Formats: sequence, structure tokens, C-alpha cells
Amino acid sequence: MGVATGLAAEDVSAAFIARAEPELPGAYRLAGFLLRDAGEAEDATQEALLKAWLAWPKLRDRDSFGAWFDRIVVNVCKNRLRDRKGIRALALDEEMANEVRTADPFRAALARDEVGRLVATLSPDHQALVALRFWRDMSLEEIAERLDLPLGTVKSRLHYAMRSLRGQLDPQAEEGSR
Amino acid sequence: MNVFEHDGELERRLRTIGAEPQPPLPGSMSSYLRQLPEGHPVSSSRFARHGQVPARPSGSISIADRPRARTSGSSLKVIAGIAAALVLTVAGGVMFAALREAGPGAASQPAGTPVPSKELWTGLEWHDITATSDGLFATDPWSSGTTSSSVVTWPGGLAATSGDGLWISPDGRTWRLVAGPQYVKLLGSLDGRLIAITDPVASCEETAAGSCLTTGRIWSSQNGQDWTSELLPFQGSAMSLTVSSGAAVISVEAISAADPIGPRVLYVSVDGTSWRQASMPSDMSASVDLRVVPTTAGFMALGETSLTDPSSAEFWASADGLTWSNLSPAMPDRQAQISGVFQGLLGLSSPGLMGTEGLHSRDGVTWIADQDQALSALGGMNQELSDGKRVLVVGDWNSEFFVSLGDGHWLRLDQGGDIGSLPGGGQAWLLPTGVLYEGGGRLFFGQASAGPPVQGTLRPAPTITEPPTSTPPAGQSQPTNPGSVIPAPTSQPTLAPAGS
Repeated sequence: MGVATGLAAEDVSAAFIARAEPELPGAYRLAGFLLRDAGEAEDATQEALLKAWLAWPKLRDRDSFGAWFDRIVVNVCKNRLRDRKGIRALALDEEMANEVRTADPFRAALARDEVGRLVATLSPDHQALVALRFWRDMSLEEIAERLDLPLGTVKSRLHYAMRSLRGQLDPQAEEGSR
Repeated sequence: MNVFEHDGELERRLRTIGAEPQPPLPGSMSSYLRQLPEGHPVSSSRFARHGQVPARPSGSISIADRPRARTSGSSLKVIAGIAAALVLTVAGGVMFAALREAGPGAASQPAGTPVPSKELWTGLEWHDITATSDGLFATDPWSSGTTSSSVVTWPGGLAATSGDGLWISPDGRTWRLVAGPQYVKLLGSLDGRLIAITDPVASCEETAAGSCLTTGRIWSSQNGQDWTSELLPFQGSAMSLTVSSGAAVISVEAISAADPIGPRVLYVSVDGTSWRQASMPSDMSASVDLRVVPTTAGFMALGETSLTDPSSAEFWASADGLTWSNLSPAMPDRQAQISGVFQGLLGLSSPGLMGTEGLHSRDGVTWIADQDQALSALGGMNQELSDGKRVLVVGDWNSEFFVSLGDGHWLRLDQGGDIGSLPGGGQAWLLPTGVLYEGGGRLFFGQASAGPPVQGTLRPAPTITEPPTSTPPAGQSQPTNPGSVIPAPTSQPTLAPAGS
């Protein structure tokens, strides 16, 4: 931790690469589950890398790189998910839709269980919470740090998200629990 | 079911999905990572102590130097986060309200803060203000797509928060770091005062049963230098601060020991010191992700009432922030409108794959579609800003700026100044007098012009060309050669694979 001063450019580059490289698999996985598209996950991870590199000199606590990079990845993915809201869906025939669903490895993994498919119905904020909690195995405190949210907000949003999933899986049971 | 009770079966199924074998990391990713420092040298002098002005890098960062992403259309988009856009809207609303209160010729307007005589800008005159910005936007470690930066105007000029600092400026060109509240979450201006909210934690778990810990404070200052503060007058977490029509609305995610996932509550003030709870329809307080944006008629709110239907959002309106009622806007494209408001905008839909389809509204009720296709050349990779008065679209890679007053027409702004060229891929903040723009490690101010031609000329921003066959040594940027600059693209550039 601390402020690096007077580093040569190559040292700066090496330091960034050393911090970023171990984070890439997790970041790609997070983006893949959020975006449900391996190609777009690759794009999003690269976009996050670029943003991280441009902001890297400002990061004073280098030990927090992982959380910081995760936050950038989540924000990039949330932006992309929100952008999708303005995109009109095109009708596909069932065969074509099945091909689309199963061709992508992330989408295929999510499609094997109904609950995975239902995650896509959540808001981008709630999808990010579910992904960090269950697909990155993070504690609520870690999620709060990454999303810059109070712990109580993380809990409440996760509750909303889980309630929504539960309600869609079993509407009657969820209705009775309220 | 208790809110903290776990649903073991549901959690198990979710974790099972995550435990499945995942596709390996594409090989191009490591190549891309290693290309990044070569294509984007940053001066080691930017590793500066807090508040120190970064030194000028050896050369401006050229877009042509950027490593290439994998595919077209969705790559390397440097955009402000959704929440950042909301903050900008809040800031914009503050600016609008302050301007409306002060009036163009108000005596309280400080000298050197010219307000364009016409609402419709025609040009931006750029100046590099890095040396006079006292480190503004240079020290925010979480700046990438987060909510931590905002700019507002008040009778003393402008104020900005970024990271743990607070800056003030008389004119947008000269900034000074001041001693004030740190880690400001929300910033606004009301009744001649700057108001800032610090809200580090609010959690019922941290207190004994029956109460919740509220550590957030609301700060106020009339001169930007001397601040007073008091505890927030509510239990919960302040999520947004919106100023319009002489009133400020704080959206709070209420928390209490009895209801740790409490509803959204709005608190309203006209003086920044006393706050009253607003009266809201039940479905409004129960909605998720409630967003409040300023309009010419006061306030408009958007909230999701169903977590399972992305189009389930409902709209509410209020003239004073205290009393809210359902709003049924006539909208040609509800989904697009929801998208626009979610981005903190009230005047532009999000461009989609089917082309740019702008929707405009200044009051949230009447929406009209774009009458021209000026934005179509930009594709969808843009930053969109609104202050309730005008909408500004920043072309992400070619540093073009388009403005609209919400009448369905767009104007591409002329650009001039003394900076040579403006680096692409930066972040912009909309001010009443122009645009702040951070890019390439520099901070720029674009003075708005309304009518008269801007002084100086600006070279077109370089655009993405074929991937370089070789990259310069680390730490050296490729020289910007005006002769090699390609005019702004007429469509989104195609990006080559990162590893190619």
C-alpha cells in the first residue's frame, strides 16, 4: 500500500501487468455470467482493462487492485446490460433461438438450470449482486466494497433479487411468504 | 421469510451453476494486457501526492495508439457509469436550478462566469487547465465508472468533488482544492448554499436492536470554505440528491431495526437545513432502484415495480418534491425512454443496434422523436449528459460534441482553442458555461460559445485505423501527426482483434 513515486515507465507497466494478470480469469468469468456472451465478455474485460490502465496512476492503494478492477468490470457490464434495454428484440424461430442459447458457453451454463435463466430477468444491479455472491463466492462485505454500497443496501438488494428468483420459480410459495 | 433467512436450495442451485467448468480465458486477453502500456503510456509523474498537479506527459495520447479490442461496436467504450450519469444529472439539475434562480444577469453571478446569452451552444473553445486545476480529477482512485465525481454550480461559482477532495472554481478554468468535507457522496446547491452529503455507512447490524447507526452527515457552506454539518435527519442510506425548482430531494433507502430492507423514502428541503418527508404512493416507495431526475416542471421519478419485467418501470411526477403522483407520459417508445431515464437523462434514449433513435422531453410528459440524423454518424459509443436544459452527446473516440435543446434537433459544436487536439476516450462533465473534459491525463475546459465563432482551430481527433505493425517502446507515445489524422468516421470504426 502506498503511493508509488518516481517509477520508470517500464516499472509502471510491469507493476500494472503483475496486478492485472491474475485478475483476468475471474473478471472474464464475472463478465461472462453477467453478459451471457463470451465474445461480449471478452470485449467488456478488455474495456475494463483499458479503463483500469488509464486510471492506474490514480490508484494509491495498490493492494486493493482486485476489488477496484472488479468494480470497473461490474460497471462496464451494467452499462452494457442497461444499453440492451434500448435495443429492440428481433423475433427468432425456435430452432435459431436454441442455437443461440446453447452456442455460448456462459449462456449454456446458465441455461442448464431454470434459475440461471431467470437471473437475466433481474435488473443489472441485482444481476451484479447475484454474480458476485454466488459465482465469485464473495462475502457481503466484499460485495459492498466492490459496489461501493452500504452493507445494508447489499443485503436488501440481494434479498430483493432472491425474492424475485424465488417468486418466479414458485409464485405461490413466494406469495405466501410475504 | 425473514429477510436474512437464507434460501438454501436456491443458493445451492446458483452456486452449482458457478461451479461448472468455464471457458478458458481467451489467449488474446493476455496479449491485450501487454499491449496496453505500450499503446497508452502514462507519465510516472502522475504518481503524484494528493493534490499535486501532474506534469505534462511527453505527448498527447493518440487514439490510434490504442490496442485493439476484439470486435466492432462494443469495444473499448469508455463511458461514465450509470450512477455517474445520475450524479451528473443531479449536478445538472442543480446548475439549471441555480441558473434559473440567479438569472443570466444576476448580480450574484461571479465575474468571469459568462453564461451564454442563448441557450443553444454553437461551439466550444478548449483550453488545457491541468496547471490551474489543483489536481481536480487527478487523484480519484475509483474514478472509472463510479459515482465519485460530480460538478455543481452555486452563486460562488462551481464546486466539484472527486475522491476525497472538494474543489471550487470561479469560472471553470481555475480550480482550488479547499478544506471541506471529505468523501462526499452527494453534492448539490440550494438556496445559495453548497450542500454535501457524506454517508459512509448505515447498517442496523452495527447497533443494538431498536436503532440503526446513522453516521452520515449533511454539510452546508455559503462560500465553499467554511462548512457546518449535522447528522442526517433520517436513518438509512442517501442514494441521490436532486435539485430542481428551488427544492432539494434526497432519496433514501430507509433502514430500521424493524425493517432492515426498508422502502425508499424521499426527504425534501428548500433551504438545505430543514427536511420534510415526502408523501409518496405506496408502489413508488416500494419500487426498486428509484431514480429522481429534474425536469422543467419539477421532478420526475422512475422505479422498477417488478423485478421480473424490465419494462415494468413506473413514472411519478412532483412539482415541489413533497407530493408525488403517478405519471403516464405519452411515449413513442417506452423501453427507450426507460433506458434514457435510467441513464440519468431526461431527453435522450439510448442508441440501440437499430440506429440512433433519440427521444426528447424537458418535462417528462411530452416526448418527441429526433427530427434529424445528426447522431447517426456516432454509433452507440458515446457519453450522454443532460442538465434538464440541454442534452450533450460526446462522441467517445472522435471527441465530437453534439447538443440539443430537446426539440428534436441536434447541432454539432464547432471546436477551437489552443490545445491542438482533444484526446478521445475521456470523460466529460457538463457545466452551465461549457464542458470539463479529462482525457490523456490532462484536464480541459471547453468554454461554450453561443453564436460567435470560437477562436483557434482544433485538429480532428485521430480515429482508429489499422492496428500498428509495431508499437513504440514503453513510456513513449507515438507523435501526433496532423497529416495522418483521419477525419471523424461516419460509422463506428471496426476494431481488429487485440492479438493481431
